[in-house]
Amino acid sequence: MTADPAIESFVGLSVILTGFSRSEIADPLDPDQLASVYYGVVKASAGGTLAMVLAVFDQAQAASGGDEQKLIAAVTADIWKRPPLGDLAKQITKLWYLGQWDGAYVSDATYIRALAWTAMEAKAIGYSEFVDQSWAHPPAGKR
Amino acid sequence: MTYDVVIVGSGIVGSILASKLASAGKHVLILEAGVDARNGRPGFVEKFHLSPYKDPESPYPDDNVNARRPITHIDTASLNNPAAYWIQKGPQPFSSGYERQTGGTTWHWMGLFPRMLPNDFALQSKYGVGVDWPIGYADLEPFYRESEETVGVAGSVAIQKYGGLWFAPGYEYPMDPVPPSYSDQRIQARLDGWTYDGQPVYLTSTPAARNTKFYDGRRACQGNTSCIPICPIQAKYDATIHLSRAQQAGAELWTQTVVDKVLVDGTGRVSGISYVQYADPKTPGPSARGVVTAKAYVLAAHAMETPKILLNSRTDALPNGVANRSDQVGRNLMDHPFPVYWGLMPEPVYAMRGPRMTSGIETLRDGPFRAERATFRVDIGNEGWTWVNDDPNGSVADLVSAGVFGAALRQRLHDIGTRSLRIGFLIEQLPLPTNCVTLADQADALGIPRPKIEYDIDPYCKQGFVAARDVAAKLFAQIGVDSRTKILYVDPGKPSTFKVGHDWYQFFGAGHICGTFRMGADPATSVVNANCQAHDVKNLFVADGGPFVSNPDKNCTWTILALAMRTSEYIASQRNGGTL
Repeated sequence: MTADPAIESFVGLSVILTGFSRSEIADPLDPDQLASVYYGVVKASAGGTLAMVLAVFDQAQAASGGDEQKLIAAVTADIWKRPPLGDLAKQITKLWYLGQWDGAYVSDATYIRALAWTAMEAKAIGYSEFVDQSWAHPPAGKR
Repeated sequence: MTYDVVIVGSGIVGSILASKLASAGKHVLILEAGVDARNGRPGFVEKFHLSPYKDPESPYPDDNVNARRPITHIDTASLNNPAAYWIQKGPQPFSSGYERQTGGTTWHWMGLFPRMLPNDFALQSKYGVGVDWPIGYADLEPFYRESEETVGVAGSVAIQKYGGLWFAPGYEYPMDPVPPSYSDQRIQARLDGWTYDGQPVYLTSTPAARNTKFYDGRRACQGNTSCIPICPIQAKYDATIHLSRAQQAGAELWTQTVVDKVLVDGTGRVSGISYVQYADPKTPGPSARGVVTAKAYVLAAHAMETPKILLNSRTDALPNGVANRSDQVGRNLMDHPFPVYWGLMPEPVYAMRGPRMTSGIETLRDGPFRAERATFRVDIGNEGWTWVNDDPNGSVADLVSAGVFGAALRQRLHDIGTRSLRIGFLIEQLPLPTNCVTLADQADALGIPRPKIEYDIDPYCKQGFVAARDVAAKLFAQIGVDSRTKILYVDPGKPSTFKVGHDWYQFFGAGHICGTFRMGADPATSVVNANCQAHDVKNLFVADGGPFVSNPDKNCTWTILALAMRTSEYIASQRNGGTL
């Protein structure tokens, strides 16, 4: 399978929208390949708008010269606050955080790996990581 | 073929009774209305993950058109909903459901096992309200112990001695108690000797049918926070365990077999149980009908379904149905109406880890106030805002709608998720003859009348809500919780809301469905005697939550099971004595 080069732009945009790093959301060894899955979901549902969003993002990224704060400011002004691009950006943000598109989970993996659980220092309700009685203490690293 | 005992229902009562009786050499048949769900767990877990509604029944199949059960967002939240199984007539919606499949509602129960207090059996004589039970705590104590040992309960006698509770000398629970969550520990630290209405307030680990070590062939709990609606690893006890044991001991199980009538002969004894079978859950209509006979019969089909069977058994000779001389079958329907409060703790407590509940406040359960208002036990959640705000969905949607994204979104969610807290109050409800389940004019796909429910919240119970709100406000102030409670999810006046004084309240269901064929000494005012034996039909036993005379604030399965254990012993003694 040849990867769509726009996935790279999608991952770059997703890093800004989610506040998670590239290694957290697009590890090349990710067994679920969530970044590709999510790109495919968005492209299938809103391909035209996605192309517009990614074109604006590519321009903003080139203009930022590697300055992340500049890039965030540009994404805020030129995508997040600009309908209909901003509406799609919000949907992409929720897709990453909740694993849902149009109110439905994409798969069991997207429920379990929804970024909101990580942000909340929790794990998906009803998903077992086979650790006994960890709830009686703060999470590892907080004790 | 005549069996020794036919048991209707394969929930916790039916399965454990069948296991006991079959192990004692009795020839037992179990009739289960639903399908055999025992191989379903992995698929149920995935269905729960993918469900947009994380309701108690969300993991389980919704496609059985022949043995339907209520669904939270359809049946229990509204009145007269044409899509519902129940015909809810109000004025308030009855808000708790159950499962119809092998193992029954233990699939989605929480598995908590607080015993009733001695005074709970004597509300009328102690406090002048409600109705006394015909038995007391001392009658049930041996059967509580037997139940705890049979199921495998994690608890500690030393921390269960409140409200007059006592235990047999030398007794201890089979497993160490469930460790209180870190959140519980931080709340406890901030309570710091706090009292309410003169009572000390502190958290104790609630006894639970939840393994705290490898026990009885099952794993220890791993804190997956989905006890309700499904334990993904079966560390929480469910009745399929004893159903399988019953079969190994020789009991027969017929699934997809819905009992429609109890047949009574001219001598006033049950002569058989009439059933309807269906071949395919998805194809409406019966495939076979028949009658089974036994020396004794046990109805354990659930407090909502069993009265339906008794009422549907009416004949010219018994125009009110079977075992209904008192006209109490189906009446006195009770639950624990449940208000919830939530907010943010003043420090991270790392919610959404552990069993959904590990500790409760038990010290406010009994006192002179019970002459005036309902009691409650306080339930301290570990599930954060996953129920009350549908989190993470609710908080993510709110923040993104407010324009928050990127690192700020991640940080805000961390702040909410790690500090979120939910508490709730299981409020006692009095037995009222007007709160009832009867037969609807509408039939199900097998031609059996569906349950019609009339229900309201009594003034005594409402005063419990007023006190609960006061406790919640003062408790939150004491431990520094920033309340985010929305008292009403719906407009005032909508179903499940009511007003006391100037304030509106909303209730949810607790799943503690009881009272619909109550026990008593007087056949004129009760359906069964203290052995759960129908007053008028000596070879008919009616078990599960229906015999409850009152529904004090305790999660009720423990008492349901203790009653069933006592009934089992009585059946065995009567059989051995030749009187049954």
